[in-house]
Amino acid sequence: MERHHILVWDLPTRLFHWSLVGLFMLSWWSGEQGGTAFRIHQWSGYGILSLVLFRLVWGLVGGEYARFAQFVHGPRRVLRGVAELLRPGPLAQVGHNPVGAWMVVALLFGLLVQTVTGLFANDDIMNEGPLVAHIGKDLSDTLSGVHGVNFVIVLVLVSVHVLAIVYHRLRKGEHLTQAMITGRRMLPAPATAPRTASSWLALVLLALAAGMVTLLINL
Amino acid sequence: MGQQTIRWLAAALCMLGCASAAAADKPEYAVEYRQGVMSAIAWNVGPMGKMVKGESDFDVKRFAFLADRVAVLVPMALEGFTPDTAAVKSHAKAELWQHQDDFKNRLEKLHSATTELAKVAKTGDEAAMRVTFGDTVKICKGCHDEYQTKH
Repeated sequence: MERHHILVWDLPTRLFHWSLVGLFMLSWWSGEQGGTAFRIHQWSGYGILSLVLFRLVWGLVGGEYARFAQFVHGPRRVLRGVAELLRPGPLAQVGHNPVGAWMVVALLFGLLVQTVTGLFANDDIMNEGPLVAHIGKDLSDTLSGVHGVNFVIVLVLVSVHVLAIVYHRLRKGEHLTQAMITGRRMLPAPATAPRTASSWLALVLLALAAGMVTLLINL
Repeated sequence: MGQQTIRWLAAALCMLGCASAAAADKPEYAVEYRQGVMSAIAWNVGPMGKMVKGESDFDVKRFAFLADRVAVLVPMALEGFTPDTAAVKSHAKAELWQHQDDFKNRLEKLHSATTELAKVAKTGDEAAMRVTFGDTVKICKGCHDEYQTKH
């Protein structure tokens, strides 16, 4: 069989993904530790918030398959996507399938809620987010509660995401992890190369996002 | 003021006194008491945390002073966790009342840790103080994660 490769995930999208994985693990670990490891938890959280803000903008101006408009679709396409997922064999579409697309949205939203509530959270011991001073203790307690519950939700989402990758590998013979590393996907038929966006633009956007977060935590 | 009036006043005061003594037995008061102790602990741990995190200068003497207080306060908290307070709405999870022995063990462990912290603080060894403080607040967090709810 003739094989065709296509660069489906641009470099910024891939770097975003794997940095997010690293910071997610770091946040999880340091969050469980608490106490003096909180410093790590804090910076890791700022990192995730910066990455998520970057990804939201990259979803508007990034490479073709990084754009929300390219992969987020309504219920009809999603239902068709489900049917396609249940069949064995590789998927027809190149980028995110319509089901996975909503997982991207859910994960980004979950992480946004997680990082923003973290800014207002306290641990009732010795640590608090940088914006706690702007709100009352009761509200901070409530948001800390949300921070705790929402983490479980994000963890479930992440688990489903990882299991879906395993499913794609076993049932559909697709190497999605490899694709997220190399950016390349194998296709049964030739496809037109996607529109790309500059990695330098991505770097500028990430710097802007980090700058915004820096301003935010110093309010 | 006549003798009679004074007698009445005394009687009224006594009744008032008896009433508040009875009220002290209410579980709501135990909850208030332990929350007060917890607030006092937080009040003293806060500045130590700031020193350890480098948000304020490390003042060895003040640290030792605060550590002494915390070591005294911690065992006081347990008294307020009486089983009759289980029905009172508080930040205590229902699990606390199902695992009272574990809860008690944790508080006793915390008591040993805070006693140790007070001891280490007296040596003036800043590095040791940091390490012991870190170990101590880990016990705080372990118990909060297990038995405290934020809502």
